[in-house]
Amino acid sequence: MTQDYVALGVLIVAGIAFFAFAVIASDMLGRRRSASAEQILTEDGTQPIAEPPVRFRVGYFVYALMLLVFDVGVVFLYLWAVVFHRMGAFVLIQMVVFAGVLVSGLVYAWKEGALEWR
Amino acid sequence: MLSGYWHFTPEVLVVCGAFAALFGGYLPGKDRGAAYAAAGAAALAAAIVAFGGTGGPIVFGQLEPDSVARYARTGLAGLTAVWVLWVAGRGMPGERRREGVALALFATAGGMLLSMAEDLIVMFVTLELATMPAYVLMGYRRKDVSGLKRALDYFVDSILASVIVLYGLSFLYGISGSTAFSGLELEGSGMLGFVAVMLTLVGLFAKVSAAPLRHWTLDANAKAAPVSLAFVSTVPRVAGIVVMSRLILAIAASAPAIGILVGVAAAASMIAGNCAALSQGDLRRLLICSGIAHLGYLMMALAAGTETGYGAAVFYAVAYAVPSMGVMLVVAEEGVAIGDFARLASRRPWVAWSMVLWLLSLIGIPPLAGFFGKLYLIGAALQAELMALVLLAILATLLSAAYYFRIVREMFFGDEDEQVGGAIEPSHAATVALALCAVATVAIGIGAPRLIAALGVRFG
Amino acid sequence: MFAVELLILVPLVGAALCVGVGRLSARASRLASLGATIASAGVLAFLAAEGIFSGVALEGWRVARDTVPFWDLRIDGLSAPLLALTALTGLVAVLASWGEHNRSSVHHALLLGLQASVTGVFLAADVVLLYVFWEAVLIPMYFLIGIWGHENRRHAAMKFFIYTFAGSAFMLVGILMAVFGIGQTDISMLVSGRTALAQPSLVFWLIAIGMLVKLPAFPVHTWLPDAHVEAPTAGSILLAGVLLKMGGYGLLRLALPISPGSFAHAGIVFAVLGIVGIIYGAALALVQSDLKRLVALSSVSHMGFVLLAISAGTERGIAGAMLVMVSHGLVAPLLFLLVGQLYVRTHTREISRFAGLGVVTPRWGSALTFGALASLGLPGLSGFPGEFLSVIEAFGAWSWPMIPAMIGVVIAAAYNLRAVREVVHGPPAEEWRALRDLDAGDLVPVMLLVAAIVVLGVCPAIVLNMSGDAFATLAELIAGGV
Repeated sequence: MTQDYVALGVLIVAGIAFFAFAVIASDMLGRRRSASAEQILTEDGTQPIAEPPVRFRVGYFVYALMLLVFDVGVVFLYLWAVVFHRMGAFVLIQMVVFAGVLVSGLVYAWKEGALEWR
Repeated sequence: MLSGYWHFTPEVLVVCGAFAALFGGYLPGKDRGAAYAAAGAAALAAAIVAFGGTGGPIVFGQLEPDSVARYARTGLAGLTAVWVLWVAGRGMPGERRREGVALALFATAGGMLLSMAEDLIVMFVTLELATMPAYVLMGYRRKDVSGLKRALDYFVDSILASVIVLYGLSFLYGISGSTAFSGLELEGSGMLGFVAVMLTLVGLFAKVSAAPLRHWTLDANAKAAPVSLAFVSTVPRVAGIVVMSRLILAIAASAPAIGILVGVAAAASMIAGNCAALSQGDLRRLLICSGIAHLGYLMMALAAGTETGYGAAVFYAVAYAVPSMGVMLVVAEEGVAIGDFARLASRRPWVAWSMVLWLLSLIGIPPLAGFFGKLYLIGAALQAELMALVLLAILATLLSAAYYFRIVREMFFGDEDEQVGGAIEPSHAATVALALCAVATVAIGIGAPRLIAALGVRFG
Repeated sequence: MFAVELLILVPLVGAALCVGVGRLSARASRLASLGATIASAGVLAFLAAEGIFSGVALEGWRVARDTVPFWDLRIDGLSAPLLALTALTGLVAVLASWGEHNRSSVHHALLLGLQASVTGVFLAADVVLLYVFWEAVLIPMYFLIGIWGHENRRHAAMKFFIYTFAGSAFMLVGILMAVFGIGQTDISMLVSGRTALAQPSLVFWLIAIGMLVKLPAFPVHTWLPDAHVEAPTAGSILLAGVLLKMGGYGLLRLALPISPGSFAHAGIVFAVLGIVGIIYGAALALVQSDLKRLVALSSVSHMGFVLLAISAGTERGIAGAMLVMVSHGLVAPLLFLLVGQLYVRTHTREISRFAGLGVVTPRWGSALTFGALASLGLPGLSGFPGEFLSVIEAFGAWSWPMIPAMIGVVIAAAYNLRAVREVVHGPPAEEWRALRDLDAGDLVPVMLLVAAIVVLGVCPAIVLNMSGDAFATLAELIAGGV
């Protein structure tokens, strides 16, 4: 039992040490900037030197999201199907509402033109 | 099976309002009409909660629509109705209304469920539902690059807070073997229990922007549109405060150390919030900083770990949110710099006097909502003999008078030539929204003794 | 009895009416406010006819309503004279700001709001209600100073607010400790249950700090000269006339009855603060070049007498304190009114720029001379009986260390007579040859105050009859200790 706490203590100490190291190291090694932090777009210490040469296309993430939504929906459907015969009409209504909400999300995305590849 | 489900009528209504806002807008020119419908749905939900009854635990004891939840849900739905009404009148800056309104209503539904939560899992899920739409609202202006950057910060930090909460909750479950609030038992759990409480609370404090993890709220919020802030800094926050109070009360009995933790955080919030607010020229920053301080006062009562403190804290959550919503909406109309308010009293006298009302309530001048809120907070702390915190709260209140009165001074005695704001388009919906905030500030104050009695608080 | 509530409601309704009719004409709103002040004076007269002005401390007439939380009003011997004073100074303040043209409807509405709140303070029988009104007083006063004040008004308004808000914040802690220690909010229940209090001295001092700031007593008086000098005339009249009295009233109503045992050590502190206030205020008044600041600092000196009288802890001592308060509530408004009328005509308050106004403006000159004589405590005028009683009683309680208080009386004569000599006497200054004297409208409020000063001076028994029982009860409490 006590050993667990020793492990926890070591973890905490290591965590603090890591944090302290990161802060101190960046303080000693990092470049100092004179600009007010308010004005800078990024706060990670690097100043943007130019526009990035390649523009990444991110349109695909919408599809990933839609897929995710329906994937998760299917997970629930499996569980629902297993207990459906024991629970009766009430769970049927529940699942219709659930699926309806998901579908309305799809309708919204469709209407907004999120499904068109541009 | 279905018994007790009627308690969800208001939430269902709010969600329906959200859908109405989202899809009603596709009819030509109905962006505004859909927002009105959504405001009506939220207002109706508030009325149903207010006049509907309370009940025992429902849904396997995971939710409890008790009197505290009734008060909080009424407040949440009412605040949302006011906000949506204002948005219907004035719109979201640079974007159309419908997504903003729908997101706000989703968050409200989450918040209303959250304030009934009696179970760790329900609490976490609804906490996410209540706060996630806020991420989008914070970055609602898509073309404002620096605002988007801050919104991303907000998103990442808030998710971090969620993860910390979740980690703490897993410990709580592990120790007590139950996810129900009533089953949480930390007696004899020693160091592990302390770690569990610590993680949960630190995460929750961050969620509602109290010390110690409060600074990110400031940075993240400082560039957001004031109208988004008006919602994000009130509705999801009130819900978070309510459930935090519930959880603290549930574990206070078996974990005495929690009083010290909350007390220290309360003191730190009061000091940090007020000191930071003193020097702010941007009203968004000023109000956010002062919001941290208000949370400090509130946590002072939670540190007592009593039913009284719990009721007082929940009462104050709404009593603080109403005037702060009003002020933030006026900031959204007039501008974020304190100089934008110069001579507001001669340009828009009624708005200026409403501002005075709200600011006085925030300071805690009787007989407004904020005064009675602080009265009960201090009363709860005095009962638990937290004299040091009470004195600190009084000093902090004095300090807060200084910065709130800077705004009053600017509105009434500001220099004529500082006047920059052009004439604001009149909007009846926005005027009604502001008037509702003003009336509510007075009404909560005058009705305070009865409200607090309904919350189950007994003094003396 | 509904009439008691009318004392608060009439000015409030009047204030709403002022703003309402202010859109029509400024004159209508002036008339509305005058009507409201006269009506509330009428209500008070009606109550007087009902015999309400002869209560016993902590008993008296009460009106409580269960429907409105904490709503519990009471008139007794302690509050009756101050209520009459409030009604009179409220009327004078409205008359004094008759010529105000800058947003006059809001100005009058704030005056009426102020009158309602102060009346509420004097009427409240519930400690929470008392605090509500106590704080409510700050808001109209803040705006009166801040909007209609003189050059340095913003600073003065802020200073006024911060000082008194800080004082009442301490008071709030004290009140809450008492409320939660005893479990009552009713003042008389607090008093009868006071033995349940764990730290009575702490409660006493927390409450007393709020009162001492308001009074104001010596080390915390510095807000007063600024606020007075910068406030508009009507604001100064109400500030000096009734706001300062809230401090003395609060000590007698709340602090001492809840913890009479603390008087054992508080008495000597009050005596010292009182004497220092008397001499310090008077000495500063002696060297002022600004006429309004002179009057303001004389208030500090007079309020020292209140503290000194309370410090004796006897029935006659408390009576003296009340007499000084009422008298100062008549004399100081008269002087502020006269200074205000002079300022409207000349736009200066520099004593050195005036001379021989007694020749140029005889009515104004005689009124100022009268006010100065009343202020220095001439027998036959209202200032004398109170100060006389307070010095006698203090001497009885503390014996020879009270001699310095007499020095204060002498300096009071010096600064008042100096002001009269420089401003009223001598050859008239060329600059003000054509100065307009007071007309009939100006004279009405002046004569109201002058009449009250003479009546109270000749017959102080008016106040003593109203309040005698209250003073006796208080003195018994203090003598009983604990």
